[in-house]
Order: sequence, then C-alpha cells, then structure tokens
Amino acid sequence: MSRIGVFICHCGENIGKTVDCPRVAESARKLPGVVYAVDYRYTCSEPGQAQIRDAIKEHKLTGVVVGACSPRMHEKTFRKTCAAAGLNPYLCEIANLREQCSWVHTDREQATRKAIDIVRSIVARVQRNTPLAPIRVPLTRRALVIGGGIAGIQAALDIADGGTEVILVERTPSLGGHMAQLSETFPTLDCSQCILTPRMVEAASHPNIRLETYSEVEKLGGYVGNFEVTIRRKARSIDPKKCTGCGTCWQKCPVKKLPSEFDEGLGLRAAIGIPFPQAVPNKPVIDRANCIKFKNGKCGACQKLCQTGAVDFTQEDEIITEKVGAIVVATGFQVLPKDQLPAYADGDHPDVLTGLQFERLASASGPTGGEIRRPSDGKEPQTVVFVQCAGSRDREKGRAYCSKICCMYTAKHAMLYRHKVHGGRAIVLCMDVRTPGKGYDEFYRRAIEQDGVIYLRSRAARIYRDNGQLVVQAADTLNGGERLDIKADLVVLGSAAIPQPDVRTLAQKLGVGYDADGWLSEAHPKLRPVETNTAGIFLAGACQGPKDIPDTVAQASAAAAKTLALFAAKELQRDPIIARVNRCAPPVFSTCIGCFTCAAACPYKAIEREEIRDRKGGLIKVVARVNESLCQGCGTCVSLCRSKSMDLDGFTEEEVFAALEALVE
Amino acid sequence: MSEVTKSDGFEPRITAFVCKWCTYAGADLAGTSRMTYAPNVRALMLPCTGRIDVSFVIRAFLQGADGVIVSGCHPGDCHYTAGNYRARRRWILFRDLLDTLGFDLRRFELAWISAAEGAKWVKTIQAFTDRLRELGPYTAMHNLADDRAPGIAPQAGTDVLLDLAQAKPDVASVDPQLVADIAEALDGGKLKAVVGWMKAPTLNRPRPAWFATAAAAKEMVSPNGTGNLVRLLKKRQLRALLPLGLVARACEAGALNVLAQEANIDPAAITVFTVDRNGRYLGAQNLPADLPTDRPVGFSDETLKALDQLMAKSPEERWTFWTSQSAKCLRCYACRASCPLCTCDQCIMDKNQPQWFPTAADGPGNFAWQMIRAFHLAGRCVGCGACHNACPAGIPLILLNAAMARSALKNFDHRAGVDPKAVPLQSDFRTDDKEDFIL
Repeated sequence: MSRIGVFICHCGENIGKTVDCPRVAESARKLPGVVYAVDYRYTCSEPGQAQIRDAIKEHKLTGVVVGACSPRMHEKTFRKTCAAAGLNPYLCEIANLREQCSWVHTDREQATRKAIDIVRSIVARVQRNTPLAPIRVPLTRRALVIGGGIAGIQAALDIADGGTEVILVERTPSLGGHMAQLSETFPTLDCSQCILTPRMVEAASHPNIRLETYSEVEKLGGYVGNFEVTIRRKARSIDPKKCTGCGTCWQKCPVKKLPSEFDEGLGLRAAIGIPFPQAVPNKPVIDRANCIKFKNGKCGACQKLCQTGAVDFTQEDEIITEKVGAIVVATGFQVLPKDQLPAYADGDHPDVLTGLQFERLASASGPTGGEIRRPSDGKEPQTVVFVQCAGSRDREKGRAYCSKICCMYTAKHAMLYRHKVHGGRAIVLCMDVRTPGKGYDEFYRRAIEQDGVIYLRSRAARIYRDNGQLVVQAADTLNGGERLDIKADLVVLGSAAIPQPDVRTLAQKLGVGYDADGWLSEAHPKLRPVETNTAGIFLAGACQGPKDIPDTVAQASAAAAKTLALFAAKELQRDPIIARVNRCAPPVFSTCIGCFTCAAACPYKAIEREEIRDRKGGLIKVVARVNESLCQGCGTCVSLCRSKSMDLDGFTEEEVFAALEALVE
Repeated sequence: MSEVTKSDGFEPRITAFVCKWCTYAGADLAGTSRMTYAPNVRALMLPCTGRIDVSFVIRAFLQGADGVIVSGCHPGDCHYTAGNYRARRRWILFRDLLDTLGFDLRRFELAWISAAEGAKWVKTIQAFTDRLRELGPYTAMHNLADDRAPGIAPQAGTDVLLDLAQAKPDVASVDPQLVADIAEALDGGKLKAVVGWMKAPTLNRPRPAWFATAAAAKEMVSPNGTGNLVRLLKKRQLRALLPLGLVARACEAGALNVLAQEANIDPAAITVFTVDRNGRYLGAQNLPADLPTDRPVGFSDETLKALDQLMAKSPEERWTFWTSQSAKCLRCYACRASCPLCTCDQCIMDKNQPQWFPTAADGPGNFAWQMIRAFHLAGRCVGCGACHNACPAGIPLILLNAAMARSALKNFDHRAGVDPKAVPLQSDFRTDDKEDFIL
C-alpha cells in the first residue's frame, strides 16, 4: 500500500497568491494512498526540505509529491532531499504549480482547481513509480583516434598527455593531413610545416600513442566504454622494423614520373617512397598499382638495393582487433576537384588551380621550391585571378553551405603571390568577404591596404580560353553589373571544402549520423558540438563541417577533454531513464515477438537481438533487448511497440496511464 | 477536471501531451514571462513526442477530453535526434484514420513549440480553448459510452458500403495442375509440407490443413478465398516445417514480405502456389510476387470505390456510420485471429497493466479496438480482406485498412508487402514528410 506525502509550496506569494495552497493540500489529503499532506511557505528552503525528510521518516513515506515550481527548476533538489532521508529519488515527483499554473492564470478559483487536478494526477503517477538506480557500465580506458591530420594529432596528444593510451589510425602512409600540404597559415603567415611537423614527431614518439598509419577502420562493434574495433593494416610491402628510411629505394626506383598526390598533381613521385620528406613514420610504401614488380614481375631494384632487406613484395594486409572505450573521429575533408565545376571548364587547363594546388605552388617544399610559376610553361604569372566560392554557397549545384576557410586562404594566397611577384596583379572575385576570427579581418584588410590586392564584388560566371589566353568572365556587381572579361595568366579557385567521398561508409560503420551534405552530425548544434548521438564517439575537425586550423585544434582538444572526462570515472554511470523489453516466466519468456519495428526506429542503435534458447541450445524465441549503455530514453520504441512489450523506465505505460486517468476526478 | 465548468458557459477540458525538452520548457517560459492563458489545459510531460502513443490520445478522448493537443520540438531540434520526425509520421497516419472515422479533427491539435516559444504556447492554447468553447462539448465522442444515444444502437444494414461485406469471391473446383505441382514438390523433397485447404465434413466450407505427402495432397480442395493461410505461419509448429509451400492469392502472400520485414520469417523458405480470386492456379513462385504498383496492394477496385463513397460523406455522416457499425462488434476478435499480420503473442487489448481500453463490447471499447486494429496495421496491411470476411457482424473492416493503406501510399509512397527489406513505415521518416496540419 502506498504511503504518499504531499508538500504544497506557496513559493512566498508566487504560488500562494493565485492558488489556495491550504485547499490544495487539504484535497490531496483525501486522495487514496496519501498519508500526509501539508502546505509550506518555501518548501525548497532548508526548513522546507527538513519537513520532507522528517515526514519520510515519521510517516514511512513510499512516495513524495512536491507541488512547487517546474521540475526543471527543483526536481533535482527535492530528489536529493528524498535520497538523504533514505527514499529512492525516483519516487519523488514534482507537480508544476508555478510556471504552468499560478503564474499563467489570474482567477484564483480556476487556478486552485487546476492545481488540485495536477496534484491528483502526479499522486496517481507516483504510486506507480518504481525505485530506479543509476546504471553502471564498466569501461576500457583506451581511445581510438581516426585520422592523422592536425585534428587527430591534437586529440591524440591531449588524450595521451592525460595519461590514457591512444591508437591513432591514419589511412595514408604518413601523419600530417592537409595541414602538411599548406604553405603558410593565416592570419600569421607562419610556415605550416614548421608548426605541424614537431607535433607529428611528438605524436609518433609519445609513449601513450600507438600509430597505425596506412591502416583503415574496417568494423566497429560494442558501445560506449566497450567498443571493439577492427583495423586493416594495408600491406606497405616494407618491413617497418627493418627499414631505416635511408631513401635509396625511392632514389633508385625506375618509375619516377607518377603525379604526386601530396603535391596535388603538380609534382612527381616514384612508385616507392614516402609522400613528403618530413613524413612520419619515415617508412616508404610501394604503390602496387604502378610498381613494375607488381605489374610484370620484373625490376625489384628496391629489394636488390635495400641494405637491410626491408622490401617484402609478398606482404599482405593484416587485420587486427582492439578494445577501446572512446573514439574520436577526425577524418577531415577534401577540396572540391576542378572537374566538378563545369562552368570553370577550362578546369582541365593546367593554369586553373584549386586552392590546395596553389598551396603547393607557394610552398617552399613544393614542386617549384616556392616560386610562383604557372604549370603550363613555367613562366611567372603577371595577373592572377582568385575566384572565390568555387563550389560553395551554390544552391543550384546542391552545395548551399559556406566553406568558411576560403575567404581567408584566398586573402593569404593573394598576399603570398604579391610578396613573391612584386609587380603582379592579384584580383579577387568575391560575393562578399567573411572574416570572423581573431585577427582575421585585420589580415584581409592588410591584403588590400598593404599588399594592394584588388577585390571585386562579383561571382565568376565562367572561365574560358581566347586564343590561348585564359579569361575569367564576371560581372562587377557594385558597378551596375558591368561585364568584365579579365585576362589572367593564372586562375586560383577558392575551392569548396567537401566531405571525404567515402564518409558515409565510415559513418555507417561507426553508427554516427551525417547531414545531407555528408558532414558528420554533432549531437546538438549548440550545446553538444563535439559529441555524436552515439555515446562515446566524438568529432574533431573538418569531418563535422568546414573549419580552419584554430577551430579544428580547439575542437580536437574538446574531443580529447570529452574522452578524458569519460575515462575519469571509475565506471560509467547514467540516468536510469531507459527502455526495457519485458520478461516473463517460461514458456512465454517475453511478450516481444521480435518484429524489431523498434530497432529500425531507434536513433541510438540501442536495440539488439536476443536469442532465448533451451538447455540443449535450441532456439526458442528471438526477442529485442535494449542495450542500457546506448539507450538515451526517448521512448520512441515504446510507442511503436504494438504489443507494448517495451516500456520506458521513469515514463512507464502504467505511470502515464495513471497520470492521465487521474486528471478526471 | 469536471470542476472546470463555469456556471455561465461551457468550459472545455483539454489534455496536452508535451515533450520535456521543448514544449514543456516553452510552457515554463510562458510562466516565467508572466503571460496568461485559459486554465482549461492539463499538460502531461513525456520525454519526447516519439513517446506519445496514439493510445494516450484515444484514452484522453474516451475519458472525457473535449480537445487534445500534442506538442514537441520543431523538426531538426529533437533532443533525441528524430523522435519528432517519427511522431509526425504517426500523426499523419492517425489523423487520416480519425478523418475516415468522421472524427472532428478540429479537436486534435498538433504544434511544434520550442523552449523559446512561450508566446507560441500561450497563443496555441488560447486559440484552441476559444475554438473548443465555440464547438461545445464533444458529445459525439462522449456519447459512445451511452448505448441508448442515437447512432450507438445497432442499425439495420442498409448502407451501400455494407455490400462489400457480401462481396465474397467465388469458389471454383480445384485446379488439377495445382494439385499436381504440389504433389511433385512434396515427392521431390523440395518442400517439407504444403499448407492448403481440405474438405471439412462438418462445415459448409473448406478448412486449412497441411499436406506432407503427395498422396495426402490429393485431398486438397480449392481455397474459398475468404481466409489467408499466411496467418498460420504464426504457429511455431508450422515454422518447424520449412521449406514450406502455401496456397495463396498474390496479395495474401504479400503478407509474407511484411513478416520478412519484421524478422519473423524468411520468404525464400516459402513457396507460394499462387491462385487468383476465383481459385484459378497461376503458378508457383518465391516472393516477391508480382504486385500491382499503382495502388495499395491487394485492395479490390470495389473496396477503393467504396472508400471513395465513404469519404464523400460529411464527417458527421461518417461518424454515424462507424459508430453504428462498431456497435455491432461482438469483440469476438475473429478479425484479429484471421489476420496474418496481427502477430502479437499478447494483444494490447488483452493487457491489463495498464488497461488502456475497455474490454467490454460497448461503445468506447469497440471504437477503441477498431482504431487500434486499423492503426497497428497501418503501413502493414496487404489488403487480403481476411479480417473483413471473418467478421460475423459484417462490419466493413476492410475500409479502415484501405484508408490507412491509401494514406501510406499518398503520403509516403509506401506499399506494404512489396519489399521484404523495407524499413517499417512507422519506424522510418523523411525530413520532408508533410506537416501542413502542424502549427
């Protein structure tokens, strides 16, 4: 039999002015199951809370209803009060008599009647409440970071510095990502490699970090605190233990004229080698698609010349599995390829460059040694046109978003060009310029004021060739839309940032969401920008949306902080508001029939198959089971369950029914 | 709530179901901002609109609400990512069901109200209360409990829509090729058993039976076209006999695809000996069978035409029609037993902790059952008509199913039983599902 205590708070005048609190308490006292009801001036005050604690002990209460302000205000307070007196906190419920009654109504009689209804409903509900306890889940204190760009490196370093082991998986042969390709970085114009490479080395030599380069995540199982990840180590054809990185192999390799991915096709590489001189680890990889040995079995020069015998043509992919407790996804972005911009169709023209190609051209470690020379004839371009929003903010092409980084990198490109070619003309065509960020607008102003970069408000319509001369057609929209045909020696696109082409596959493997463009989805756009909806998986950097380096690093550190916070607990603890599938005695076991309508709707993939077997192992029944570490307690599954075999703790069918039924006297 | 009645006029009772994160917080904000609104509403807080079951709404009306409002986070804002999208799909279907029944849709309000929209909460509640004051008490609904009220007492079946109940397919003599094919499949060991029909000496119609040998198959008679044998796959004993053959019409066999979708059965393990409506044998095949693509699967032209006729009536006429029809219901649950897709081991109608709906064969109980049955089949029913034909009271159940199937097709381009790999209709959502009815 229930023994419910009801405590009606006046909240000073806040409730008491429009609601007759003594009358509400009086009416509650007559409700079945209520053994104690009282009104008090400030129930949340210490004497008010003491009143609750004393009543719980004195009247052996099995449930408490506090008629007061919104549960969003003081539910935690009163639940703690109850817990202090030995009553399970989930046996305390709040009747909202202030925000949704006394404050919004003026007629004292009507408001009092409404308050009586609300209290009656909550009393009926509390009678059905069951004690709940926070859910505890064990965890593996070890993190996985996917992606070895600046985001992944930063996250891995921060987690490792926090004393936790990290596995850093990178699918290319070296750490570094796009940042390693950049020439200088805005807004300081410091050399990108100078600030990045020490971090790469630090990550590689950190005792808590294990590098898995040239490797990819194949499969993910498990859940927060207890993931099991399968990683494919692709065959390098090199034994990294034997290789010293001396470089003889790539110097002697006869296949030397392959376009270098690192140089965005502007430079050349061999069929064996490291992507760039500062690569970490400094161990080469054989490009099997282009190696003569793999094509027709001949050559093998690298193997013959390698003094440590590190070359191994027979090496195969290796599959490893690891247990981790949290995952940081830092898989980055790509730059929109030129061939996806047909209007700039002379896109295949060697002198139309993507933003990233220009980075390589301007980089001291690039194919021209940092001199600005156009790819077609090696001449120094005298007029360079920079075309902004190349692929971004274009709804018709299906890419409505702003790529965020292009305004700044275009300003930087124009400045770098002007620094290197003093007499050259740098013209930027832009719809508008977006420079929010510390020192960013100053940087853009510097491009105009100190470096004489010409900005025209225009969107380039097309790029064409006139007698071999590159011409950019645009309209000067601040000058009556006058048509401009600008002769250019070199065109640099402010190429859009796009998601990694295979990001959806990865997202599906990991069970995280992605938006219509393909950027991975954060749990909440404002308040949970680093978490995903899958507990224990965090996002860092441009995989979540276009980002510059400072934002990327900040988010990576945030993801590391989230990971470390998760690992700080002895075990995981969470709110017990979760769904459950019912269980009953054999031969029924559960009224669940295993239709899995719930599983298809669960946003957290928290619903698993459970096979009920007899002693001989014969299958009796397949039913749904809720993984309590994954369930977040939305209850969508409960509504979809036709047989109501599913229920939601804290909002059970019985509790809701009781509250609804008791609205009618 | 009965106390909320002014002496000088009618004061409606309004039940609100709101999500914890957006609308409940929005209503709190209205209070914090000291806005005022009519005191007629009683709000119940749930974690998410995804948790708000149609049972809550039905129950609220049955126990005397004059209006119900459901409100939660705007699309894209759901605290749980997509609970509101699924709720939206649920309400699209449920509103179409209510409309078919002639329910007064002005009394069921849906709104997206964010935690910042205290003013919208106030405006919505005030406008809804004003509208309900105008409309007066929902007598038509509340009268369901009064079996002497007009329209509740059973009427003689004079309506043209009831002709459907008599429109049972002809029975032809058994096709010898059907028997021969089945005998061959059983002899060759391709199938362990075939479920078909045999003579029942004590009945004036054939009864279902399973045949394990070619010799036994000789006893087979033609289906009478009124029952769907797929329902027998609910029996565990029969499932032990895979690979299995089944005599069925194409639309009946579509139910197998739904069972496959719901992880209960592997359609590859079932061979369907397909017959047409007159029992003519068309051939054996595995699913998916060839199904029409231009309309809800399985429903006959007569059924869809009758549905058009029904929907051409006024809501009040539809309400009178359905209340008088549902008054005939005996709660024998023949509809449930005959349905291949009423797969629950324990029906929600039989649950008593809590007991959402009256079990008695009275106005509210019958009405709730008809709604729940049709709603649980929304996006699943393949239109075989077994329930309709099984109803001893002659209630045109197929019309409710057809209304739901049409809604699924119109709103979601969904046809039940076509794709065994499809995501269940109500589990799925599209971000551009319609919401012109949501404030």
